[in-house]
Amino acid sequence: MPETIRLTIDGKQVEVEKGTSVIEAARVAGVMPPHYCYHAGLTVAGNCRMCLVEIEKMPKLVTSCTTQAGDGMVVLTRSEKVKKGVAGVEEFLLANHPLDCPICDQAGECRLQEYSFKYGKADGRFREHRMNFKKDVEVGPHVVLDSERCIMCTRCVRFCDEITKTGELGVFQRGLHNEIGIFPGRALDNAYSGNVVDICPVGALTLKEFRFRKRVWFIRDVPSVCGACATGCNVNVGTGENRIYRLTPRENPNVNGWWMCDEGRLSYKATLEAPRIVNPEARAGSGFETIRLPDAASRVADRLRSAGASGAAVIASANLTVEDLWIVKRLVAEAIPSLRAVVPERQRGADDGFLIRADRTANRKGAELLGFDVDRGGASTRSLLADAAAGKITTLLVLGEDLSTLPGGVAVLAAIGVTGGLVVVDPFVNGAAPHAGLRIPAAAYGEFEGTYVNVTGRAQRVRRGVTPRASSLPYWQFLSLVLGKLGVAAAFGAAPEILKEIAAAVPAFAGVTWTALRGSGLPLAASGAAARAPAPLGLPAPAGAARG
Amino acid sequence: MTEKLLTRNVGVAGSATLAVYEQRGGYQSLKKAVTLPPESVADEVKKSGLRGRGGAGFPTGMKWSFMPKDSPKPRYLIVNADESEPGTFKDRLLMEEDPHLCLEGFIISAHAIRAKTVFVYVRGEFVKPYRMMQAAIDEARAKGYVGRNILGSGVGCEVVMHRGAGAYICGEETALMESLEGKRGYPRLKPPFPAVAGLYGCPTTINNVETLANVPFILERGADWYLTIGREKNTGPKLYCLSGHLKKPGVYEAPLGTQLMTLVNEMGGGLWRGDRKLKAIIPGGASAAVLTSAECADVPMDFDSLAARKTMLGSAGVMVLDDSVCMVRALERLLRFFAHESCGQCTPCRVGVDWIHRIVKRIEAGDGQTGDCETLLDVCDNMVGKTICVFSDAAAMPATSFVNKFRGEFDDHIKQGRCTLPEA
Repeated sequence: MPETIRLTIDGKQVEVEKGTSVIEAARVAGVMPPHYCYHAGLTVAGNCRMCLVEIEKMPKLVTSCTTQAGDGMVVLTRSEKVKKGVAGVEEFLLANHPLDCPICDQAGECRLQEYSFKYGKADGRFREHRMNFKKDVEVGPHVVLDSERCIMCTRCVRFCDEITKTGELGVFQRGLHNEIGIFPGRALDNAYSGNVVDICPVGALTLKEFRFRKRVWFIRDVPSVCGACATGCNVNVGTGENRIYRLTPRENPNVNGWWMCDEGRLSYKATLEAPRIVNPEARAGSGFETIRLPDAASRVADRLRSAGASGAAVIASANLTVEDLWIVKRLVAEAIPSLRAVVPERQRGADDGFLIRADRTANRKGAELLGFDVDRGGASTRSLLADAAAGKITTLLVLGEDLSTLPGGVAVLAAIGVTGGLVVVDPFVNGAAPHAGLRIPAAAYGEFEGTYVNVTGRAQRVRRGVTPRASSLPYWQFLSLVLGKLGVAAAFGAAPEILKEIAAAVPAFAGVTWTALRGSGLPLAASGAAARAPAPLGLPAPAGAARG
Repeated sequence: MTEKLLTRNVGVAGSATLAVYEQRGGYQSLKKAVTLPPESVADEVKKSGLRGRGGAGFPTGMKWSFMPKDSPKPRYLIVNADESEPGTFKDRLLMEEDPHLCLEGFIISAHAIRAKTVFVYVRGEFVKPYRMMQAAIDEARAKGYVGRNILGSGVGCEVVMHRGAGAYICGEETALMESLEGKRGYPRLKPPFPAVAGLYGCPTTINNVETLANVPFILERGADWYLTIGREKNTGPKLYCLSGHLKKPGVYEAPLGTQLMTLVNEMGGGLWRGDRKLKAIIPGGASAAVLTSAECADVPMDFDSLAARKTMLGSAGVMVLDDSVCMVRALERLLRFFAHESCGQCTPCRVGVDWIHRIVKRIEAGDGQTGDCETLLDVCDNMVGKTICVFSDAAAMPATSFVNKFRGEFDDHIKQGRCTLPEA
């Protein structure tokens, strides 16, 4: 049991663990002082001097981030002395700052703007020439630096030193000429580089993929989780005009801390760039004709029924939500018993010891908890595809997987493609889609609601930020139609209703409700998930690295 | 005329050689010290009342007592020889003229705090002092005064010289440690203090060259003798660096508490020209508040007396300005230095020092505007006491004192758009 201390902040009593900084104690008291350089995920630098507070019996103002809270301390965050000090620091930071807010991407979520609004003066008294620095410097594949806007808080430098331990960034020159930069011969190209943009409190670091795309006040952030790997980093999906503009990490101490990887951050781009299946289509001669959705469902149902359990199989992606997979499971269990279903492995590289998992699927754990064959090692997929290539499977329903990139998949395309027995349900015109007998447009990331279970067994909500493109629809919705055509009642209005059914039927999900997953998700007891599994602190240090 | 101690070998032929130093009684204190337990050496220094000569005047014995008794880590003594305060050139004289006195002080002090390694951080521009010190170390090592087993006593001490790269801020003790570790010279957050986690995270004491040059005398003649020099709580001899409009500028040794005008008139030989009058004196290096000629009448040059006059002894860099000096121009020159040397870590210093420099530069250039002085003073207020180290305060101190004490000159510059002093 850690020792606790009590202190008074702006008249409010708070109790914190011994060793807590005054700024964190103030956060508990609900009066977090303004700050630039302080970040709970990084070491304390104490250089911006913005978080000044007055502490009884101390002659000078002190920075609350560098001062430990003491028992019986009396802290003032809004005394006249503090106000003058804070306004002074804010004035210093603005003195040489360019007046390019109208074209600055950070405008609207800029600390300088926020604190100017709160602590700034109406008129300026800086009559000297502003400092000029290089603007628009590409420091890496995703990050652009504008040194004129920089306030030298060094958050980005500390991120690269402490979290990725790659040390690309440093402070160069001296005094007012201080500048953030990359070391000679380096580039800010680590797998997590986008985070420096998030933690940059001003517009000095911007993301190439987002800059000049959208004013942030027109962006609506939808709290969701990333679908690019099994970690399930919590994200905000930034949307506007029914499209995704960016993904930014959302704090979750149990999963990703404050961070996310660049691959995940940019994973939304595929939904914008890859060609989509727009309408339900059936093969007609050498091309495709658009058909009605109920007809598509009927045709799929007919095919499955006529092929029977031995002649039909389902390949479902582990990127499908728990709700999607539940309907697949019901299809297998109720409509066509002993229908073969497999969730293929999708591995790339190795776990990096931080946030990136070799398993690039978002919901393998969820599939496993629902009782699917998640095919570790890939044997089930290989055997199923071998049977298909040998003509033993005449109807293959492929959900969210690209058959053409599965081992042995190309041979299957040749065998089953000509019979019209391949049914592709997918957001994109993937490699297998041209060979399909039927292809159904599925909702892409950001267009559906549901639940993912991450690698540690934490159930989290993936949210819809934009409406599905054209007649795309979530997998569960199309599969429910198929189930209906097969005579099984499965009428669901929305994903939460399915989750309710799962919670009642599957012990692993007992007690899970849509609302309980709100925020930071819920560890599933049956999966052995720890209630508080702290997120890793950063990339492991490279072997032999010694940085002081 | 009091006995010369720190400068007793200055000017003596071959004073930097071991032979001459030994012949004049050198290394006797070291021989005595290595036979004593570290605690008694430290106690003697504590009793002597010796205060740090680097600028802050912190009691040396007390600083040493902060070193943890039971740390398993290595312990270091750092000698701050990064003498960079404008108007200060005393450590340079000591290292050039009497490097063995310095070295003897370093080793005795290292013994007192049980440090096995001394790092001497020398200002980069000090090429000659660096060479003289290194030569002295080499000579002393050959004679057994430096090394793993000093004079067979079992006490070991190595001395490592390190040259800085030309940054004033690296004279700040924690920035110096960062620099010594090969990092950017940024002052560290305190706590932890150097005695707990200093160089390489180990217990470290850092002292000025002149401070440690006092130690051999304290060991040789005892704390009680040392207490008779100077004034209460301001004991011992002091090196004063006299510069500016004097007949005989230079380094002079006199007890702490010597009258400022005694230094100026008797040692410095008075103003350089009979037709000039004294205008102002900066008593303790560029960071000290300026004194007007009227304020100079009764000023005992010691830590407490100057603090009582809202300025400081600092590094005892006494800069004498005669009545031909334009105070606006003088301040511009001082602030140009500070603006150039701010490390830029903390916002108020990085921006503030440059800002006040540019205001004064503008006033000097004839582009001053009404309200500039008020802005300058308020900006100074926003700079003081709000940063990691005291650099910001050190820059604000001369600025506020110049403007407050010579406000008329600043106002005239602003009103007339030019300097109003007659051409000198």
